[in-house]
Amino acid sequence: MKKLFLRVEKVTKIYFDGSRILKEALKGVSLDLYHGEVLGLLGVNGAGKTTLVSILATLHPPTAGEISWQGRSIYDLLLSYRSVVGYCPQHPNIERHLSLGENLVVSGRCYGLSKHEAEARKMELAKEFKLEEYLESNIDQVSGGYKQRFLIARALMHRPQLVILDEPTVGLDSHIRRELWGVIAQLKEQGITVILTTHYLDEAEKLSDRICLIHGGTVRIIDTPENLKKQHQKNNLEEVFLKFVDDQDSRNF
Amino acid sequence: MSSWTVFFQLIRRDLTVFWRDFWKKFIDTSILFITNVLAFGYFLQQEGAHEGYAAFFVVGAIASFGFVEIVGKVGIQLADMGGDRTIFHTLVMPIRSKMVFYYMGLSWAITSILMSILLFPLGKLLVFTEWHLTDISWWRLVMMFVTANLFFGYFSLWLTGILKNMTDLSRLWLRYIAPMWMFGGYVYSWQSAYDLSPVVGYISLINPMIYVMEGMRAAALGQGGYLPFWVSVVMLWGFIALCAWDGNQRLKRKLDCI
Repeated sequence: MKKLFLRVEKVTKIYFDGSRILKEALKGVSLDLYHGEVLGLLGVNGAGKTTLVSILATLHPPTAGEISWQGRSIYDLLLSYRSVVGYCPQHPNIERHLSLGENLVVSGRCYGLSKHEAEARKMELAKEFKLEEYLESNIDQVSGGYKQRFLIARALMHRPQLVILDEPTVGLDSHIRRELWGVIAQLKEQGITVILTTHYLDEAEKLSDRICLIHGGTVRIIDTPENLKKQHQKNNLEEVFLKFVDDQDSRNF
Repeated sequence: MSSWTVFFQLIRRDLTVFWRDFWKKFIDTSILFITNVLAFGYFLQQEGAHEGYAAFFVVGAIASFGFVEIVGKVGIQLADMGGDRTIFHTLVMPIRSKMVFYYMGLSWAITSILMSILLFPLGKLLVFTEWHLTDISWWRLVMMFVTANLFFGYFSLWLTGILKNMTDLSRLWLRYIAPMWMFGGYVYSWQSAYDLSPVVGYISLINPMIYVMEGMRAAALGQGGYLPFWVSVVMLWGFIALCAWDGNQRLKRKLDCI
């Protein structure tokens, strides 16, 4: 039986400009996340994927709704919850005045690792992510692929139970994408729960245990890739997705 | 694990970064400081400024030069909020957001202290015979120096909260900081302003810089002729509390954080 990790209930997010509503980014999103699964979040640009993951990472608060972890609101257990979450944002937000190695150590120490543990973990992750030769470099001296590897490594410094990856492979060439797929597959093998937002349907199909399609700020589909293909009689997830997007009246779903 | 673990690690990180450029920044600050002291402290005496004006000026300059360092931090923070957003990495760490903002103000205050503390011996060398060490109340000086720099730190935090972007920052110096500095007793005492017109004197009291200058001079040159030391301390702590609280609220709204 699958063990519940996180429950998201009727989460809404409204952006205001003063008292005027600018955008209703999420309209009552509900979903369950289970221990050790990879949940792929799919959706067109502006669907609300990044908004949802930034709320799950506790970067931004929801306007309404509840997110529970261990049977209690994550906002009641904020610091404990944050200490088990690793967040890899879409854009590299790396301290420029520190080397990549120093960034890793600082991040680890902020999550309670001792200096020795942080150094050891840095070397372990540097090896795993092939970052060894760049540990002394700063952010401006490495390519996009290595920045992305670094961001994932940083998110893993404190050995989180939940890793949130917001479009980790966007803009990367196919070779590096494939390498990062291996990394995500490894996380799964280690029993880490992963939320992965992506535009690449092949990636989502290959890596995700379940797919959650967000459209217009609501969850429209949530199921395993196999069930989705079977249900919609398609050969791959891309065809399912295209059918959905083409279908203006999504009530068919 | 508590917010304090993260709080102190973040300060440690900032200090690591600060020390890397310390000497370059100190040379820049020293050039501005020496220029000001020579021009106002010596040449102005040729124009009739009273004897001892150099020491009077040096203490005010030491009191306020950390501010130059901190306003630069406001620019860096605004650029970050509009660009890389490294602060977002901090805001998902196991620390309350208000503690993140309080850490920022404190960290800026510490770097301001470290930047301006070396101006004391430099200032003494520049006005050697005019500033008598026997006039200094050391414990008052330490208290006021720390208080003044904490005010700069949290005032800068508040500025980060009210400024929308880097364009606003360019206006900040000309419209706010320069008048606040110059009318804050940088080159004259509050008593001089009051003597010019009691109305000007009372209006000056809304400017927190006046308490920085007067408090430092009361501690370093003797109480005579300046606002009571404890009035300056209490007023500055009031401004620190106000800036910290309002800056926290504004940044929380601005960054839409928990």
